[in-house]
Amino acid sequence: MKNDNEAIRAEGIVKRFGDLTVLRGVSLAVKRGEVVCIMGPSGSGKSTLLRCLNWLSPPTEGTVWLAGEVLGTQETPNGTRVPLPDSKLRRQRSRIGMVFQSFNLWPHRTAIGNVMEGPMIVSGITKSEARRLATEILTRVGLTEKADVYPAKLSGGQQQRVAIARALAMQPEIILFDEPTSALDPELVGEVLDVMKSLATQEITMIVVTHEVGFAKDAADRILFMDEGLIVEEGSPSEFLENPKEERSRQFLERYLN
Amino acid sequence: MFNTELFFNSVPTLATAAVVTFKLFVCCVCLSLMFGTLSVMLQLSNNRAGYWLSRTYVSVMRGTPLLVQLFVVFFGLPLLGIKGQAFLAAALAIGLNSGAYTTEILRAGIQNVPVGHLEAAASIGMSRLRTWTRVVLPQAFTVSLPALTNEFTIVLKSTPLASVVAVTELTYAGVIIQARAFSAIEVFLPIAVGYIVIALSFTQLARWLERRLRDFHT
Repeated sequence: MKNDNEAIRAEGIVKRFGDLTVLRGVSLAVKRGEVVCIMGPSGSGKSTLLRCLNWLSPPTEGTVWLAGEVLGTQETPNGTRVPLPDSKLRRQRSRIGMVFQSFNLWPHRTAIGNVMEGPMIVSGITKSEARRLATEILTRVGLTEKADVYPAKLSGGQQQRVAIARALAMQPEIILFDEPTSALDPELVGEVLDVMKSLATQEITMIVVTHEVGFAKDAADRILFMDEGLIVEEGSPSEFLENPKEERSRQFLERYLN
Repeated sequence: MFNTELFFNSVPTLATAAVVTFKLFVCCVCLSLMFGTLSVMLQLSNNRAGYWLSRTYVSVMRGTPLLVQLFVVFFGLPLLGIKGQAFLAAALAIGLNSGAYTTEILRAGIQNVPVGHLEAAASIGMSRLRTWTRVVLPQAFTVSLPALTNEFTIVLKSTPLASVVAVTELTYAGVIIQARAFSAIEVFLPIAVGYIVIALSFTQLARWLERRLRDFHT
């Protein structure tokens, strides 16, 4: 499974919650620097797929490779697969950034405190070094002047930009975005999408679950369309958005484009 | 008749005893926070033995009188080779007792922390222990502060129980003076004032802390 050009690969991902099967065998591969958007109706398993990809919610079946390395499990000498020890799983997770729909900033830390936390506590660099790094990253998301403000005093768009900065601070190999603009007021969506577009041009590997057709069109290299726990169609933005092959994709797009 | 002389003569003795009460109070609060934090971490960890250990601790401490617990600790310590440590026994007993209530106060605060905050910590690769100390406990503590303040004012008023194992704290000092002088009001009025002073300084401190931590609540 070694492929130097591959950031992440998933094969045969099945996720069941009790009797409910949310993912029915999803496979995908994302190249380094590629931006992949996942679209689809709610309940189609998009968010669950993202959570399987960083093992926040380990898949029931299937395998994920992070830069060729199996995620979350390891092989024992007698050939069975067992969960990876916590410390190793943590190291893998730190290589995958995640941006949540509801931001999930830590409210007791300032904007810069949220960004510094990972480098300082997980990577173990010094506080002053972390502050320097965090300042630089906050500049990239356009929030230098809000560094010492607590999340409660920031707008939703600003909070989400801090959350993106927090993910970037770990210098991850890939960043997963779980509907990053769905919780935002319409007038705040633009500033977050602008930051994401600038990341897309900086060769950062991204998987973005989104309903923002405009973003997908401008920034994505590829769009995956999911329905009922499966990827039913994939293609370049122009192929998919202008000429979807599947009936379900067509119906979905009709609703979103009008 | 209010015996002014007795009142003024008692003040130095009572002041010394008030210092003992204050020290006992501070020790009890620290122990309570320590036991409470430890116990709640055990209870909410994925460890079954830890869970039951914590549940049993809370049930026993809440279900038996503090006075009985104090006797058990006081007469139990010598069996462990620690003799004649009345102050230690009292601090330990009251601290253990209050720790059970602190466990439950913190549990409510912890369960208030949104799961998303834990997931955010997990997603950057933070360890479980660090997630507790950096994400969960600071938030839980802030939310729990009013309830903890309440609990600790009760702790202050439990300290007179230490008198049964002959710790000369504020109330016991008063009882001794009163037994000699056959006058109570001149002694117990200043004692009441002594408790109020300690309680008020503590609650004011807690209020100040609350204000400082409120930044992110608004």
